[in-house]
Amino acid sequence: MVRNEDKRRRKHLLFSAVVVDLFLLGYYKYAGFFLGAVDTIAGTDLAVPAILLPLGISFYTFQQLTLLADISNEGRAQRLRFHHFLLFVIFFPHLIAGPIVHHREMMPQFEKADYRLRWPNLAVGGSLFAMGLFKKAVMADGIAAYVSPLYADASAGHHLSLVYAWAAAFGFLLQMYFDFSGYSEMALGLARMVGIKLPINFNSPLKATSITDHWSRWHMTLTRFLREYLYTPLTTLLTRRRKIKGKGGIAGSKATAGAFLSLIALPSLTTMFLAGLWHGAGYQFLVWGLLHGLYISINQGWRLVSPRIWPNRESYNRIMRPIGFILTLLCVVMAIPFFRADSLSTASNVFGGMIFFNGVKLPEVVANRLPALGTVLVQFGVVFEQADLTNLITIWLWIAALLLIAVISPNVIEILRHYEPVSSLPTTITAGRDLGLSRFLTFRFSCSWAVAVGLTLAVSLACLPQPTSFIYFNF
Amino acid sequence: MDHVYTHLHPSHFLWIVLATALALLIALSALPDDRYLRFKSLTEPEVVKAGWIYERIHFDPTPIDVVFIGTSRTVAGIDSEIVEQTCRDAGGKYCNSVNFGMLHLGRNVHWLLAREVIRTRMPRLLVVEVQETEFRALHPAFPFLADPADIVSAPLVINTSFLPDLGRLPTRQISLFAENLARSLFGTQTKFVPNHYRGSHWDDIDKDQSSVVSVAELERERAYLASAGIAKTRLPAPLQRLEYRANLLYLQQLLNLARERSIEIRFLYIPAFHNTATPIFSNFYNKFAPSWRMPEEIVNRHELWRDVDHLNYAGANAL
Repeated sequence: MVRNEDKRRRKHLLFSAVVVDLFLLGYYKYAGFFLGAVDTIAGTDLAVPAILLPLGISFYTFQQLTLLADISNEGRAQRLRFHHFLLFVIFFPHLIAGPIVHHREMMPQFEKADYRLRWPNLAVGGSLFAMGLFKKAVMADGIAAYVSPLYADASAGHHLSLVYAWAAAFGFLLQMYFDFSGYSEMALGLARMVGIKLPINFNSPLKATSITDHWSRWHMTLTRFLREYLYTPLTTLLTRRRKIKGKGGIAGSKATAGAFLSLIALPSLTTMFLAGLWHGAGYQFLVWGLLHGLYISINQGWRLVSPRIWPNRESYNRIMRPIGFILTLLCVVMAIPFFRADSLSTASNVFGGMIFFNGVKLPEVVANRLPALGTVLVQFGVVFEQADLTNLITIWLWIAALLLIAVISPNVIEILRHYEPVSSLPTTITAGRDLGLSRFLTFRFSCSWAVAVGLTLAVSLACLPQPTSFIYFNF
Repeated sequence: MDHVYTHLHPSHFLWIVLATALALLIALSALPDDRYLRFKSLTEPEVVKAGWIYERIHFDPTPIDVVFIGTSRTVAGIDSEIVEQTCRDAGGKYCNSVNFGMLHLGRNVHWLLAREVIRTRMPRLLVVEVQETEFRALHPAFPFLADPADIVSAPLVINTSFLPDLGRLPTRQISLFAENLARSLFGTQTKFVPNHYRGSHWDDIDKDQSSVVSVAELERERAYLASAGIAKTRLPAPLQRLEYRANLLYLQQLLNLARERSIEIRFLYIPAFHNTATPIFSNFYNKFAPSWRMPEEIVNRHELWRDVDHLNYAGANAL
């Protein structure tokens, strides 16, 4: 009886704490958006307040939610001291843009930490930080200088034609990847310098061969959060409901369309819809989330169906992996304008350009220099306009170079794998496992690596005075 | 992790990282550049005048006798041609005047320009603008105009732009070096082109007589600026000098340089509209040179102002 009462009290406390956290997030991030939406729909004359968004509120709200869920599940509330709570939430390296960590990942480390600076940690942490900084200051900011004007053009109402729209989409995907993975590695590095290992957040997502694979490599700690606290509980609830009603599940040969819709499509769409909303209060983010929800649903459906129609897994993998890689990349790129654009109309402008709605336009200098090619292209509907060819070539060269790095080269965690750069390495990069990387690409405490890291640091610092802010600081 | 310390101890590794980074940054910062190209590289409207100032000092043989150094208040309030003519009419011998006023108060750039003109030419009189107070921040154009040694030796206390300015240096030197190299390779060096030269005077005087604003508008602006507390000191009186230390230090350097070369100095107090208060640092200025105050009938006549901080053409004429 006492135990039940205690349980109930804890549940109430948990519920209240979650409500308070979500209320604050809702107020700061979404009040303006929802009031604006009500104003538009109902035609009321509501004064929509301009609320300043506290830096990183989405991240530390999620951080607090994971803590609440963890301690309520694991019954560790009694052992949680206030200074531990503060340290867990406001630990500087992950404060502003993650990774979103678990109580169970951090507390044992905080308890064990002797808070002394040690050379190995400083060297590994410093190297991680330098590599992350290079990705941000040189690669992400480098391509951003060419990508941002394209979105500014689109936002100003200029219709981006095919080549420019694809450049905007690919360019921003790569900018965001190098920006956020760079930030994550800087966070890992800072934490490591004081002897704390954070979880991995990026594992070469652009090498993914399916959309679920992509999400298991991209912003991995957010994916984990969404899976553990949204997707799985929702699926479990829906499965229970179906069972109570005597309906079958998704496994086995009797899976029905209804089961697919309620147990895969609905949770996927709901989860990704909320993920979109978490990223920003704007219709474009909702579209981005729903698109990914749709991709995941189709991918899951295919995974159910494909063994039946293509039982030979070896040939399936051999043929489908490259196709899956290209399809995944295209799907992610097609959705990205909705993530980057400042409004739904800007996003639609870029998206429309990608699917030929705005025609194909090229700088007229192409036709002037290669008249024969120009004549042929005109017959195919290409329009030549006054535009800067060098700029167009530069952005595509940036895209080619960064895409090649993202898709072919090992990632920073793989390069540093012998030094346990993260709290737990994914199975694909376990320490000591031969990844087929040459010695040249395997980090060691050697003179050549020290010089390489030093050069990386110097170039990053030299590029630092004109940085753009980290993209994920907006969330 | 011990098994992987096969080559270097982590401490040695870190020292090599830092030494390499530092060596490269120093090497990049020391890349040679063309100072003319550096001054001409500022193309933003607020600072584009820097290129002309360099040309006036180095390429225009017209003597420079009187140099006005200051902010937008000098830019708006001093017509160097009128000054020159008035001086001649009064039978003055050394009347060739230039207005080297640039937007924003930052004594580091004033010192830089004064040094440039003092080293190259021999002005007779340096007129340095003063306002109600000094600024806390230094001039944003300094990292783009100064020599690398000036940036490295900038004061540390209290200079919030020291590190950002230092950080900009390698990139600035790489880009200037590369541009210079490319221009030499393609034979398009930045050369002084007399046809493109603006002439011996550059006065951004607003000659549009209609730019007179009402007293109410000026008072509204004045109230807004007062509420923003721009001219208020933050630290208590004994620490006031510390708050403005960086700018005062550069001002002192400028004044010392002029004194060494026996160049006469005058401060010109250009206050905001309707402000008759004495400058906060008047005691400091008085130690070095006498000050000219803008006559009160100019300060208080609204038809001579285009906004609360700047005189209009009629105001410049009157001054």
